[in-house]
Amino acid sequence: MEWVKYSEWIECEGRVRVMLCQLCKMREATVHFTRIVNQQKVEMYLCEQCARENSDLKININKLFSAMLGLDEPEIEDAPFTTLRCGFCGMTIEEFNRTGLLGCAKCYDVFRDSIQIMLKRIHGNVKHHGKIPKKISGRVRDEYNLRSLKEELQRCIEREEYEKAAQIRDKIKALENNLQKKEG
Amino acid sequence: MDKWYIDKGPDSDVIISSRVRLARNFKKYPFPHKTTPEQQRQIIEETKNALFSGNRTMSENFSYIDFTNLDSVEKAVLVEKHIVSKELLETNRICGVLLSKDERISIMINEEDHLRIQCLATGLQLSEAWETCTNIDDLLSESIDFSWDENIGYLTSCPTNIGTAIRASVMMHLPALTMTGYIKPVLEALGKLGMAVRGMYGENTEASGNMFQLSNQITLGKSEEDILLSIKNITSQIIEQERSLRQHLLTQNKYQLEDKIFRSYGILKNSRIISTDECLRRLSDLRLGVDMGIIDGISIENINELMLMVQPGNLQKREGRILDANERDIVRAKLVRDMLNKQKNY
Ligand SMILES: [Zn+2]
Ligand SMILES: [Zn+2]
Repeated sequence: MEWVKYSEWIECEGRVRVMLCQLCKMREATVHFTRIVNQQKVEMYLCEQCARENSDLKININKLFSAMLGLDEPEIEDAPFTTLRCGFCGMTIEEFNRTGLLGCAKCYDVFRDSIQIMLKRIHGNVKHHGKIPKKISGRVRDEYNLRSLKEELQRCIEREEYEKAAQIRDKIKALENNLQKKEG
Repeated sequence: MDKWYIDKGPDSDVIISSRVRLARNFKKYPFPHKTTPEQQRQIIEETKNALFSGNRTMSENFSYIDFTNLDSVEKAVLVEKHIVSKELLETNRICGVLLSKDERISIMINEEDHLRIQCLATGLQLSEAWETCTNIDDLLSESIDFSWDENIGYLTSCPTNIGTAIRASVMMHLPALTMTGYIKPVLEALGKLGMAVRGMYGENTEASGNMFQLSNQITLGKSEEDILLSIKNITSQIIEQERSLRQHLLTQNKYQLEDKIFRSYGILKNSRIISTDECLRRLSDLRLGVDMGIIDGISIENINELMLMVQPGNLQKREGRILDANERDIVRAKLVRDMLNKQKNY
């Protein structure tokens, strides 16, 4: 989607990417504004709080845009302001914040950043480690299992469970051989 | 009644029942709250087809209960039996449940997720319940493409359920922990271990009759087996604590304990008006008395049955008519009296 053109990313604990509000540079940006300035589309990402504080005062927003572009008297067309929205089901970030529910599978991509923060808070880990649907084909399945086993091996080594680690290593070898055979 | 909930299972002195639930969503439809009535109907049809065409024994074992034309008493009965959630009653979507004859397995359709596959069992039987659920899931996924992502697993309407999308829970009867006040630190510790504890009827319900439902909060990053194992381990520890406290009460406070139990027994056998809440509280005391051998002549099965029968929906279904709250309290008292006085007395 064209508007997912994040300009200011930060890395949080190595994994979760968050875009900061362009105003306060403190909170996560969840609201997206668009304005046409001098026939050019300008975008702005704000946190909810800043968006709320500024949305009543259109003039403020316009000032902000002109300040961003370094203009004194810009010709600003008033485009309706938009927010992060799923193009498939119509879900908006506000609705998600209100209901806690996503609208469809694609929402997981669209709202990825907000969701990942939430997932990390609840689950403390952001990678699936469990059942695979029966229909997923052999190769994807093997690769997935291989990855899971390698992660498990790592955990065993960290916990100094060497006996279990040896068993997992054998499983990994067998699976790798299997995958090579399929390729060859 | 020959349904599963009457039997007593393993560790039934502390564990009433076990439940495993899997959330699944069709890849091709948006999540339930974004579907059209037409899509809701299709989801129901496709699920029925997947279950019935997949396996002959399935089609003979399951029936579909349509919620559109179901009266409120029937719906309440299903909730009281834990076959469906309260959410399913409250939604205005076209919805229903596929239910096995023994009422152990249910598949809710168009709840928060397209499908909620659930299996119930008495006592501590999480692995058995999981086996059943995963088999049903496998059968359905032969013809349905479920939403799944390599990194975050099964996709669900609420991101708190993604990954394995499994919710495993045990219903625990913890009178001794409650009586002695030790329940508070236990509950606090459970929260820190990523477990959720609720009352008998799910979210935001207070524990009635000393019943607590323990379930996993984490669904992502751990395998189904690991999640089940951690619940089992925690449950075993709670069972041990509850049992040792019961023994402690029996040796240290024998008369107080017996007095409490026999008073409740007396009230149940003699009252003319009793609320659901009081009734469940008294039945909890009675259950403790039976488990500890203080009261005999009554079986755990009798108490399991009573605990279900005294609830509003089941009570009205048995009477065959709608009863207001006052009438229910009278009918409930009579039902309990009749059932307890029927048992061998001493
Ligand atoms: Zn801000
Ligand atoms: Zn969507």
